[in-house]
Amino acid sequence: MTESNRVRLEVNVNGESHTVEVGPETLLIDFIRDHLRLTGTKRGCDVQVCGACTVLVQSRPVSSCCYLAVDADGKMIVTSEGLRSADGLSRLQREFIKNGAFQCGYCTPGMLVMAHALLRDIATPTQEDVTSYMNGNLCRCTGYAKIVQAILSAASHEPE
Amino acid sequence: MTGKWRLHRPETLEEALSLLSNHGDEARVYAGGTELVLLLKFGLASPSHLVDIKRCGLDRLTPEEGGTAIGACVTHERIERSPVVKEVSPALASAEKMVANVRVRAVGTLGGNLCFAEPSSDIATILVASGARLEIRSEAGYRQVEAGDFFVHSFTTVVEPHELLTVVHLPSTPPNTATSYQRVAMGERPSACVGCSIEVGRDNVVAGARVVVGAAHPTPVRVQACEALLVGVSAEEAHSSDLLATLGDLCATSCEPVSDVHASAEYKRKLINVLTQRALAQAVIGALTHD
Repeated sequence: MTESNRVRLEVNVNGESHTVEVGPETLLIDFIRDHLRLTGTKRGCDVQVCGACTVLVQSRPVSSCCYLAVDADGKMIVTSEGLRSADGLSRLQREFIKNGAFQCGYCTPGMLVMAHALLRDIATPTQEDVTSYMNGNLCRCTGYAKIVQAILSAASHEPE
Repeated sequence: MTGKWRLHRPETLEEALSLLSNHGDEARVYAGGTELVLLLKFGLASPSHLVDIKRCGLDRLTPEEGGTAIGACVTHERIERSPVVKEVSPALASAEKMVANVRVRAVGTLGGNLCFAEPSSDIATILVASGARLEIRSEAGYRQVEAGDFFVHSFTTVVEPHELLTVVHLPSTPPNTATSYQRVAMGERPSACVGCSIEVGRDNVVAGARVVVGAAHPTPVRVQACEALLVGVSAEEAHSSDLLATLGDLCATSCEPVSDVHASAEYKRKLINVLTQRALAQAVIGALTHD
């Protein structure tokens, strides 16, 4: 792209502000992985159906493989690296570990980001709420049952 | 991503229309991009210009006399969750919840879905059944088109290169009227879908009917033979199993679905039959209980 068509991008990623110039064709996933070196976000299908590339933009889950980086200008992004707090892993992350909700781990960052959005959207989800909300995140290893269980456990507010 | 294009981000509708007027055939309108970015990635579209319309005031969802005005840039998610839409058209709210997945619904827009004009569009089907009117603007002026006349062929609408779909006017469902939407989807897109609107007159006789089948033709199609059989019958007969079976069969045999990896044409016909019966029963009962 010619210099005159580069676009200024100001974005907050996991609490840190960044100001860069990008070509308008830059995809958010490439900005996150290549420019920011945050490689938790994975490229799976590249056509927005598998969910491995899920990140939050203004708290909403998006497929970063089909999202132009310039559309994140002025917005807050959370990737899988940003789910933990200063105190440690999130409840959801701990439940994923406890329930054995991942095998190869490739879908896991996307699953976690999506599940975080789910629990913000639905405070006390039923099993059907979970399978419906998560139906755009694909896993080839686990058969999904433990992922669903981990999410329900995290939502349950039962002591860990 | 292949190809080189210039990104324009107009801040007013007038600016956007001027850009479309100047660049016309070489430009693509860009909002959520949930279909367009895919086309660009695979070289299926090669515009020289992208006109981003997200800053042009097209994201309003407001009640108006006789219905609701939904801006072209309103996302599926906002429509799904809108208390206004849930009240005036619960079938649209529930159809919106079925579109693709949560991520697409968070970013994808009503206008984008309609203008992409995929034959299996959930929203196109229910809006044709609802009698929505679509507002199309250009630098020269504006026109309104009924949803049923908006779709020309697969991936083709009446919107010209210098024009922009700006607002969808959704009529409120009057008392004694109800719309319904039923679909079966193996993946994200329906293999068969049916949208209906039924109005029951004061004498408990069906006064109006729209029966629309989607995903079985290049565009959503009203099955007028089915509608004709409904108008004038008693509401009770309208959801009797005998008449529903006749109407389901009529819709199925009048459609021309195409076999694909998800379902054969024969199976899609069977789906259309069942979905027609369910959608009609739901709409008739809904109309009877809707004060």
